[in-house]
Amino acid sequence: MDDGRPAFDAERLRRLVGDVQRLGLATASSVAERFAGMVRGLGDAPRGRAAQGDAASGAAALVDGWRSIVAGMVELAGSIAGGEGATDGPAVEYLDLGTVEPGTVAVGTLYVHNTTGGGSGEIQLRCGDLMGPPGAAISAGAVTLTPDSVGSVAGEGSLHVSVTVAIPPETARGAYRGLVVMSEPPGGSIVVRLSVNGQGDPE
Amino acid sequence: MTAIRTQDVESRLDVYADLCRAAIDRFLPRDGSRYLTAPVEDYLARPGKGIRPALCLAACEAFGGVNADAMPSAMALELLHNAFLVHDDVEDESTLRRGEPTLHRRFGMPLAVNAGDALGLLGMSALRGNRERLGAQLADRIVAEFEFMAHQTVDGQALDLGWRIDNRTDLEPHDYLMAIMKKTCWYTTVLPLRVGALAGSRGRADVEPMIRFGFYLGAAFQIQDDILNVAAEGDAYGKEPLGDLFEGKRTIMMIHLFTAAEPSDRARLERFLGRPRPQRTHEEASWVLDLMHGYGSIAFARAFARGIASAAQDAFAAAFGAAGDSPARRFVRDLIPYMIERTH
Repeated sequence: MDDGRPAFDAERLRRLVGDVQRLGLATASSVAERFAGMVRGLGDAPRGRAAQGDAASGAAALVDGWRSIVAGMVELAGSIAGGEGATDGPAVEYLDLGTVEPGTVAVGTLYVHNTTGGGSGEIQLRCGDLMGPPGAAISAGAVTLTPDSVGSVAGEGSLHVSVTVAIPPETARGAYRGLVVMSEPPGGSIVVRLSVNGQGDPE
Repeated sequence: MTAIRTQDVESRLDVYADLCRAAIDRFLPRDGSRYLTAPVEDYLARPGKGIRPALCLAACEAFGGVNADAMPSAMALELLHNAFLVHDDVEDESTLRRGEPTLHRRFGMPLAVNAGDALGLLGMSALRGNRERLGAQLADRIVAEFEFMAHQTVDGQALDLGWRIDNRTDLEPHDYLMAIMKKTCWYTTVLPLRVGALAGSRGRADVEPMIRFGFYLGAAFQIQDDILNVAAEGDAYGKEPLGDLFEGKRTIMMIHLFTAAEPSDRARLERFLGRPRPQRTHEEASWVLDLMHGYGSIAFARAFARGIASAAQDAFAAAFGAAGDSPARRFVRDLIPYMIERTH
């Protein structure tokens, strides 16, 4: 720009607002699940264990990352006011499924979040292989996304998607990561990660 | 395209609030001395938004009941809410409530605290009406729901006060949401929805999903309330402008500011919050507000609340999935954007 200010990065602002919205959603979800577990004595129907814990585990990455979101907002405010220029985009998002044993199932929840005011197009999701220590992987076939097609999401609406990973019994010990990609927006993705307490050398 | 107009929600809120107010008026004992009845009646005559009884009565209707089925619970909610507010205003040293001087400023501390006690006791007494209407078993379940709420509310208030006493500046969004779930959301939204649905369905409704929906709705409401406290225009808000800053409340905006501020600003902010309320000046409170604008704390709070409200839409479908379409069900659904868009 001619005045020496860094260009106003509208796209980055939009993503940061989306990050803050997801932070609010994920943090609130973890609090709600905690209280859902506290009221069983009042007469509420018992629920499955996964329904209690998965939202909290999925929320952890975003909750932990809130300081980077704040830092991003401060940087952006600086760029608008003529301070330091905008740098990198927001931090990579993770769905952390924790540490699991071979032969068990890891579950988590991710949210498809439409931060715009209008409805989205049809959204489909797909997860690739989870890559582990050298030579080790959990194939995409072991990962189930429910639903894998969430259809259209209303403006500023959210839908949750259950992520289930069946850990094969022979899985080697170590950290595994894979990518869930969305058909819309193009490039929309989240990293799924877990650790396996399996046989063999640690990573 | 679906549009929600806040005035439609507000007119429906008024209907429910008027029903509850009339029932409380019939329920109130008139045999106390003027030292008790004057402050109690003064406070109850101040019209609030009536969100708690409205949610309770609407949930009851949506699940097949009639207003009378949930009216004892709705009255109890409103009376206990007023009791909490009287005591909150004392603890926070607040000066304005619903556009008028707080009760302790109008009647003095001793009579105000006593009136708060009376409102709380009347609230629990109102629940006795459930036994005749709903039967002993369901009435006992509802008492247990209120007991759980009361424990959470006082614990949440203790957290809020304790953080200020210890001048905590290391809090995070999760801390804030835990505190408002306890202090505000359970008795403002979660309990009214749960009890209303239980009364309307004669105990058959699955009220577990009401926790998520009620919390998302209540948290969006509370954050908007926090924003209005520092950013409301005009005098319709009814509370002391910048009151939360004078009180040093750990709102989501304050927590954001602690994290975002430069060390020099943060140190000055800590000194401001470390002093007793009477020593905090309006000039300093305005400086804190400027910081919140400058660091994006208010924009952060708005986006944070919108994220939660978006989850409320999903959670509403789960909570009210068993309830057929009705004006009451639509009213509850329309409260979601209202919580964000309201201006007072």
